[in-house]
Amino acid sequence: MIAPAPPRVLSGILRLALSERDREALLADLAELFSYRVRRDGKVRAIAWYGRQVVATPARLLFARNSRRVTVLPERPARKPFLGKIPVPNPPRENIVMESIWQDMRFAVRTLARSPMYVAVVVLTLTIGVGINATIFTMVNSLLLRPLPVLAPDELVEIYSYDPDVATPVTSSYPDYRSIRDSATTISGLAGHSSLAASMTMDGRAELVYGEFATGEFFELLGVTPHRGRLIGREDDRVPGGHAVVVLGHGFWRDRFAGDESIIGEALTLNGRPYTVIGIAPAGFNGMVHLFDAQLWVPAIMADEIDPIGIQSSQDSPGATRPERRGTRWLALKGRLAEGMGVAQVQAELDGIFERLAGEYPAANDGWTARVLPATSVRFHPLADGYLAPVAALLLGMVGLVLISACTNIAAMTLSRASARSREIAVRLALGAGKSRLVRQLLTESLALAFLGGVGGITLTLWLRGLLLRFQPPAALPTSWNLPVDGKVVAFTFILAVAAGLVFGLAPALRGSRTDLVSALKQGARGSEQSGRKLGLRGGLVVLQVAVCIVLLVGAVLMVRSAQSATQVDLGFNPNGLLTYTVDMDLLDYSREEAGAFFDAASTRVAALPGVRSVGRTSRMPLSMSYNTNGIYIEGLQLTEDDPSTQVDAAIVNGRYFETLGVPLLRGRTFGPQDTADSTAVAIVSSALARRYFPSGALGQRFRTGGLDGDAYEIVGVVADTKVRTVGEEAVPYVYYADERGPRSSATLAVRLDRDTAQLRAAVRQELLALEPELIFLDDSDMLGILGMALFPVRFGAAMLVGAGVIALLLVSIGLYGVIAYSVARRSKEIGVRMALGAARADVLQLVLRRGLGLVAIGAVLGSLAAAVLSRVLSSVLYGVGALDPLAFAAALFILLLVSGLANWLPARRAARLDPARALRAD
Amino acid sequence: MGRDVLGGFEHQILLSILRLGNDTYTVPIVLELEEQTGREAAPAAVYIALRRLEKKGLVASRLDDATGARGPRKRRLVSITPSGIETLSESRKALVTLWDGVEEFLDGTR
Repeated sequence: MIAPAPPRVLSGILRLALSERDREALLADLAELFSYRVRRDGKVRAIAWYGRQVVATPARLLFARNSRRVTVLPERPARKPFLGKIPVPNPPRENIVMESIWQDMRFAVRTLARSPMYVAVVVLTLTIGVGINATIFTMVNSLLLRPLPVLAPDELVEIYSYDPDVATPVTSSYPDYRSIRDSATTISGLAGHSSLAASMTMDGRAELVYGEFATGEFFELLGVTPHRGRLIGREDDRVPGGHAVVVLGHGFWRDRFAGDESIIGEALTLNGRPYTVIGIAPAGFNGMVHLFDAQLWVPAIMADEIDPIGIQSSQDSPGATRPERRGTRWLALKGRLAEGMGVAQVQAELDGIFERLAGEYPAANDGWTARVLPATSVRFHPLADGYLAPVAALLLGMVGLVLISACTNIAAMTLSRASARSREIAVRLALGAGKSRLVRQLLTESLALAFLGGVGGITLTLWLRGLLLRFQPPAALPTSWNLPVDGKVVAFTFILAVAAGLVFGLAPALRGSRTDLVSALKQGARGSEQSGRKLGLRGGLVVLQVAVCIVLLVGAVLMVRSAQSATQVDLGFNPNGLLTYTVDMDLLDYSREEAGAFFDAASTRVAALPGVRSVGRTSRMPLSMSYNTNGIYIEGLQLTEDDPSTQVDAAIVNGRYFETLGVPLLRGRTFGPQDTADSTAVAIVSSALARRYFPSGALGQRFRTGGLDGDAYEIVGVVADTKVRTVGEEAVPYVYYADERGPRSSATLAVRLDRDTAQLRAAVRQELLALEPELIFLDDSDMLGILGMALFPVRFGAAMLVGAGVIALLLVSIGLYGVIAYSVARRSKEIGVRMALGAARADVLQLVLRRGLGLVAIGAVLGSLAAAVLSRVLSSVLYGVGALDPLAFAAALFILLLVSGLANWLPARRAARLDPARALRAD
Repeated sequence: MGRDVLGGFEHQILLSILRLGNDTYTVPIVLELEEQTGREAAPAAVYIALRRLEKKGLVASRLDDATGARGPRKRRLVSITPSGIETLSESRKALVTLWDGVEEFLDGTR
């Protein structure tokens, strides 16, 4: 009979946990007892018993070993055993891995505790270097790395409509979405979505809510299942305007409805119409736009009742409602790859589908093609991502430089410590310590420091994260810009800390351990001047640091100058004292006529307020986040119906708009009361448009919208160019249509003040609310605020680079101070001799300063060269400043010299004050 | 007593070895302890105590070179040393002395 053996998994674990000395004997004993217990207690209880032993045995052994450091020996050495036949074995050599690791750790703690300053500086330096890297990584992680919270995001593709004239991938129309969905076979499903804003009325109070339109396949395709109730399905997405249902976001439901499940089946009023709540989305599903929390979802087929927001493009096309018009592109499309299909196959199939659509619906689809991208490669929009990725790379590169600078300090410190410890190491080597044991000891010390640095780094990250969160742009929409410090961030931090600690802590330590035994022992701990090589290495580290610092400082000064000049760029209008109020009367269920009457009354009443100079009206403020374009047909440019239209940025404004913003009229007239729905359609164009398309004079010329025989517009005025999308752009062709030609439901009121005071702002608001108490401001800000948003990236970049520059400067000063102070300490005897021989204090000062400033000079030259190369990276985000701006380089050098001069002067002064007698006696 | 006082568990183990006879090993000791005390004994505890006793010179051990059905058995056979016997007897003496005159307390009559 074969004795029952313990489960192999358990015995395997035990085998691993036991040291070689105990292993075989204990395993055999336990196996024997196990089989005994199987017979006595049954297999289940025996296995339970064995499991307990697996845990208890190593623990007991470890405890026994470490708690019994002192063993009381018998008075007499052991004699022959009682029966004489058993020889007394020698006590086994205490060489157990666990034991020695424990020993290493204890020794590391003891050693490090003896030099608390070293530990403090290294840990602090690591904390700063690792912390700011982890912070930037947190940002990059939350912006670019975290996947959408959906099922298998890597199977998703984004499908954009693309018009070579617009030259930007845009959203798609609802009919196109259906055509693609019904014919494509390379994707197993297709869903459309778009952001939306609506007014929700509850208990007589209106509030703005943000959400998303979803087509019937949306939730199914993304693999999202309801928290409660059901989600929008195909049956909710059939009849335009016919499916008034809503799904609530989990957070919104929890916060706004106190997590009350009985809300399901009840009705919410959105834009004046009741919508039945059919379900609650699961927690953690925030919708498709990163950083924004969708509060609710509405079927896409309802898009005529609620306006979508986001990138849109429209061409005139038949259809009574938005979801029926092929030329109105507003839906973002996501498809799931069919089994075995790739992006290329989808692109090829969609090329065919789009070609067919262009043939069937030339008015809306001619010239349009498809762009297919893997969803994982798109974060916000291909266009925005194009900006984000280099910015992220830039930020990571920048803080990487800071880390290098920080590590340089650690290396320098460890190096000097290693030379100071060379005697200790030599003694240990001489006493027979193995080289590997010594290396392991130094490794343990480095790891301990790296661990502390990692903990510090995480702490700093959490703190900086709070700071960054305060820096977030003012947005009216609910954001989830919460910069989660997740596992990825923690892993990143510790890997960084350990790598930095090992490379920059262990390597110099090893170098130090390669000690010449004899000379180190002979030299003793006196600390006379070491071989020049080591100081040379330390000097080299300072040079590197100075160079890194110069690069960062040049970048910082460039960004600050850029941010400064960006605010001085001529916008084409005066941004000061200009308030903006964006309202959508559709949210309050106003008819267009009612809305028009409201805007007229509001303009009149606000304009009558003392201190208000004028009130204008527009569909879009310059530099606001609106990128809507309009296709126009210019005679002579588009000759046939098939020629694609010219896409230009457009706005609908009233006559007072130009006066209110301060955009000068160059030729012709502005809009006035003579422009009505029945009069000739007129337009005003920007100077850039006139120059480009009507070089022989734009006044009196015509263009059409919606085709060659579409509505004709006569150009009655030419106004000066303004910035339209970004502060840095060249003059953009811009068309202004007359607001006077027909009432519109939404508009931005621009209010020009004589003097911008809080009272006046309050008075304007009050005046508007007096007209309509339920008025919802989609945007209630001022032009400086809009400008601030537009300049946010530049300012943010400047703030970051300045921060990095200051930290680098700090690290350089510490490094330089350390090197010079160290050199002074080592050369105190030499300095003493010199002084005893008659050297003046000034000579000593000069002697010491010369060395430090020499290092700085070399570093500054190298750094300037590097900065000249690297600052080109910044050129795309610089306004009005060249990448090689001499002032920026001069300023960076000046700041560096100032700070490094001080860091140099302090130890030099100490050297000069040295008492030669004491310096010589100290020997 | 100039030497280390024998711990309670060590005392029990030495007695078990005497009962089992020399050249015994962990397993019989564990079983003996369990049988006589009625409590579960952890093999690791016995193993550690044996090592400690060996260090104190109270037991001696050797590897079992007998070959079982499945190769050589990895057992460490232990025997009590004269010093062990001596310590045990001293320990017993001390205990007996201490017990003298107080045994009657155990049945609660006084």
